Amino acid sequence: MEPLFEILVSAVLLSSMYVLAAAGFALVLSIMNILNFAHGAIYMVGGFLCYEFSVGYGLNQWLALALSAASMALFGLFLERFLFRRFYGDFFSSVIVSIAVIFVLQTTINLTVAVNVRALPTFAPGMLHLGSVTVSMERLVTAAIGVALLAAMVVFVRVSRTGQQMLAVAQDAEGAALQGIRIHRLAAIAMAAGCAMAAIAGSFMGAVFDLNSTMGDLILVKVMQVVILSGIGSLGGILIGGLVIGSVDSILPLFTTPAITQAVGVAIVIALLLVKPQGLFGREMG
Amino acid sequence: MNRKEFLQSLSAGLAAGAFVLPNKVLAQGKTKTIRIGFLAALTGFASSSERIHLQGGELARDWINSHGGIKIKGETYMVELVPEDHKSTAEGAVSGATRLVHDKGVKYIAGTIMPFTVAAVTTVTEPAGVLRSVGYNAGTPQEFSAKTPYTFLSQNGTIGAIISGMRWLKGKFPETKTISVLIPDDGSIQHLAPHVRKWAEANGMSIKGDIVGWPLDTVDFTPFALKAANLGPDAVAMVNGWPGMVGSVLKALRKSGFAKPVIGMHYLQVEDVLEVAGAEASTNYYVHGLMLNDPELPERIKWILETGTKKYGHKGLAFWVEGFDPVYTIAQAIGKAQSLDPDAIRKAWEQMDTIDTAYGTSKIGGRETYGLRHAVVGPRSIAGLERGKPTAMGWVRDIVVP
Amino acid sequence: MTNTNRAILCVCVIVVLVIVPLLIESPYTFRLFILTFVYVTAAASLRTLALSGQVSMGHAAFMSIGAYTSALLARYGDFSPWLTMPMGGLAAMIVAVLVGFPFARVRTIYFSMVSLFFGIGVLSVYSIFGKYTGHINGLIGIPPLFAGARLPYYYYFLALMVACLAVLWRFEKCRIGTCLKAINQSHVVAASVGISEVKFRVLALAMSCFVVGLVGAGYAHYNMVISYSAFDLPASINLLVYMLVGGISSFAGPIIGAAVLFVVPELFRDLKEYTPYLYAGILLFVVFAMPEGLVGIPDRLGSWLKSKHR
Repeated sequence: MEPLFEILVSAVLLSSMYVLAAAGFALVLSIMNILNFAHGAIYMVGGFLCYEFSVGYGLNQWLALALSAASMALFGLFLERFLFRRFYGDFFSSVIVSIAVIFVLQTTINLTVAVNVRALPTFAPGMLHLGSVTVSMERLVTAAIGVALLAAMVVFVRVSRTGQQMLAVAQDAEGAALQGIRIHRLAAIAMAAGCAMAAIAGSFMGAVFDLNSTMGDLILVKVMQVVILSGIGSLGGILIGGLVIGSVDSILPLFTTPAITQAVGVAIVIALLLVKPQGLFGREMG
Repeated sequence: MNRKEFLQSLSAGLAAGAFVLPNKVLAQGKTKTIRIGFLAALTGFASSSERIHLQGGELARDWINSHGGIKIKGETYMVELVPEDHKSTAEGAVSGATRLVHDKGVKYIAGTIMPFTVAAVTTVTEPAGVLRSVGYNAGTPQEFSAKTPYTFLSQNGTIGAIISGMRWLKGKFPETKTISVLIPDDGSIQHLAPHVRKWAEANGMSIKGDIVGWPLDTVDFTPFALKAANLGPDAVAMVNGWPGMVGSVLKALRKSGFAKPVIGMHYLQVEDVLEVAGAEASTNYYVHGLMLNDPELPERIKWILETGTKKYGHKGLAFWVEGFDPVYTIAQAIGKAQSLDPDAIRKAWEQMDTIDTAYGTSKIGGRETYGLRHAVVGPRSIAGLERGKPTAMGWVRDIVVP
Repeated sequence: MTNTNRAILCVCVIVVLVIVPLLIESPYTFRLFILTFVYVTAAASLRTLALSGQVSMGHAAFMSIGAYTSALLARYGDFSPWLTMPMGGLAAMIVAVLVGFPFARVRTIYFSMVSLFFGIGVLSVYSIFGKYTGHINGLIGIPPLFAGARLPYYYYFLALMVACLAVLWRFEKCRIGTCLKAINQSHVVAASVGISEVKFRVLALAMSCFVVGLVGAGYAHYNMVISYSAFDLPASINLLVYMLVGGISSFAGPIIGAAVLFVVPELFRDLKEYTPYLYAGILLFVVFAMPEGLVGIPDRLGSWLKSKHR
C-alpha cells in the first residue's frame, strides 16, 4: 500500500495546481463581483497559444508562456472594455456574455488548432527525490508557481495602492467611486491579470496533463468548487479551498469509486454553502 | 442573313450539338449516385476528433469514386456523402439520424463512434430498416447486439482489441501472469469485464484485483495509475481512452517506478501518446496503432495518409481510417448485394466470408460475442514506444472474434 | 397588452399549433416542434423558481430525475409509461422539497452555485448506480409512449405544454406568486408582513420541479434513450440562457427564449461546425441591443413602425 507521505505529497501538488487555476478567477470575482464563466475557456486558449508560440514558432517555452499570458491579458482588457464593463453589476447579462465568449473560443480552437493531439513539452524535466518519495519536477514547479502567484496577488492587493483601491471597490463600489477611485481602470487591471493567470495555469497544466478544447469546462467546475469553498472575497483563502478539493481528488480515488469521489467533492461544497454561504474566509456578497 | 451566314451558323450549331449530345448521353449514365449518410460530431466536445472521422469518410468517397464507383447490374453509381451533425449528445444524435433517414431519405449511414450516440441512432435506424456501419464499439449491448440487425461493425472494436491484445501480450512477454486493467467508468466496465477476463485466461493470464475504473471528466489521472500499479501486476492493460488520458497514465506509471509493460487494448496513434507522456516515460508501451512510418503499412492506408495530408494539411491517420472503413464497407456490401435495398444488402453482407477494409482483407464474425455475425475483423498493427521512440512491432494478422 | 388581447393571442397560437402537424410532412420538423415544447415548458418552470430570486443553474438535473425515474420504472418494472411519468414528476417534486428546505435561505448567487453543484451531484449519483442507469453510455430500451406514430407524440407534448404553462401562469398570478415576488424584492420586508420565506420558496421549488420532472419523463419516453448529455451543466445553462435571453421579467420571456434559441441552431444545421458562432452572435446581440430580452421585440417593432408612419 502506498506510503502515507507519498499520498500527501501528491495531494498537496494537485491542490496547488488547482490554486494556480483558481487564482485568476478568484481575483475577478472578488474585485469585480463578476462570475467569469469564460475563465475555463481562457485557460484553455492560453495553453494552446503557449503551444503554438513554442512548438509552432520555435520560441523558448518560457518566452512563449510570457507571450501567451500577455496575449490573454490583452484579451482580458478587450473583454472588460467592450463586454463586461457595460454589465457591471448585472449578473444575468454577464453570465450570458461569458457563455457567448466560451462558445466563440471553443469553436475557434476546435476548428483551427485542436485537430491533433497536443501536450506542451515539459517546463521542467526530471525528478526530485525527497527521501522515499519521487516527485516530478514539473509538478513541483507548477505547484510552486501556483502558490507564488497567489502570494504575489495577496501581497499586491494588501500593500499596493491599486490593490487597496481594489479592496475598496470590492467592499462598496459606489462609495469607492464617490471617493474618486476609477473603477473601470481597476476592473481592467483585474481582468487583465485574471486572464493572464488563467493563461499561465493553462500552459502549465497543458504540460503536466494535456491540451484539449474541453479542458476548460473541467477546470471551471474545480475552480468554482475551490473559490466557493474558500469564499468570495477571499484571495489567500483559496489555498485552503484548493487543499480540500485537491485532497479529495487525489486521495479518495485510491479507496473508492470515481463516482463517489465526485459526489463527495460536490457534497462538501453544498454543505458549506448551506451552513456558511460566505465560505470559509469570504465576505457577504451584496 | 444570306446563305453563307446561314450555313455558317448551321454548321456551328451542328458542331455544338455534336459536343452536347454525346455528353448528355454520357452524363445520364454518370449522374447516378448512392447517398451514404455520415453522422459525426461537428459541434460539441467530441468534434475535434470526429471532424477528422468525417474527413476519413470523404477520403473513402474519393477513393471509391476514383476507382469506378459502385457497379450494380451494369450501372455505375458514384458515392455521395451526406454529413450530419450529432452535436456530441444523445438528443442531437436522434435528431441528426431522423433528419438523415426521414427527411433526406438516406438508406445507409456510416458512423458514429461514442456508445451513447451509437445507441441513440439505433432507435431511429433499426425501426426504419436503415443499414448502418458503425465506426467503433465499446462492448455495450445497446450499441450492437442481436436486436440491431441492420447495424454492422466495420472496425475490430474494443473486444477485438482485447482479443488481439491479450494474445500479443502473452506472445511478446511470455512471463506475464497477472494483469491489472484500467477501463473508463462510463457504464462499459460491466460489459467489458467478462471479455477481459475470458481472453486473459484463454492466454494463460489472469486479472489481478478489481478493474480500475476512471471517470471521463478526470483532470489528474495519477491516482488511477497508482491504483493499477499498486496491485502489483506483471503488466498494466488500458482498455479504451484517448491519447491525453493514456499519456498521463503512462507518465504517472513510469514516474511511480512501475517499469513493466503497459499495453493499450484499443486503437491510438503512438506518436500522440509520446507527445503527451514525454520521451522519458514513453517506454515499454504498446498499443494497437498505426505508425506513420511503418514499413508494412497496407496500400490503402498509405493512400489515405498521402491523400489526406495533401487535402487536409495534417496527419490524423488513425481517425481518418476510422471514418474510411464504415463508408468503404457499405460500398462493398452494396456491390456484393447488387441491390440498393438495405434488406438485400444486409443479407448479402451476412453471407460474405471476407470483406476489404483499409487494413486489408478482413473476416466477418461476432456471432458468439455480439449475438450476430456482423463484426468485421481485420489485421491490426501493434506500435510501441521504446526508449522514447515510436517502434513498429509488427502486425497481428489472424484475429478471430467468435 | 390587455388581458383579453393576451387571451386571444394565446388561443390563436394554440389553434395554429394544433393545425400545423396536419400540414407538415417532415419527421425532423415534427421532432423540432416536440423538443421545442419540452424546452419551453422547462424554461417556463425555471422562471417560476426565479420569481423569488432563486436563479437555478441545475434545473436540468430535476428534469433528469423525472426522466430517469420514469424510464427506470418503466424499463425494469414493466410499468406503463403513463403510470411512470407522473411518478417521475412526483419524484422530482419530492427531491425538490427535500433539498428545498435547506436551500430556501440560500440567496442570489449562492443559490445559483448550490444548484449548480447539486446538478453535478445528481449525475454522480446516477453514476454510483451506473449498473442500472447505464451511466454515460446511456439508458436504452425505454418503452415509448406511443408505438411508432408521430402525431400522438406531438399532441401529447402540445397538450402537456399548454397545461403546464396554464398552471404556471395561475401560480404566478395568484397569491403565491405575489408573495414570491415580494420575497424577491426584500425578504426582510416580506417576513415582516408574515410571508414565510422558507414556505413559499419550497412551494415554488416543488411546483417548478414537478413540471420539469413531468416533462423530463415525457422526454425520456420520446427520445427513447437518455444519457447525461441532456441533463448536465451545459444543459442547465442552456435553460438558464433561454430564460435570460427571452426576458426574465415577463412570463412569455422563457417561452420565446426557448423557442428561438432552440430552433435557430437546428434551422441552421447546414452551418455545421460554425453553428455555435451564430448562437453566440444571437446571445451578444440580445444582451447589447435588447436588455429586456427577446420578449421586447413586438414592442420595439411596434414603436419602430409607429415612428415610420409619422
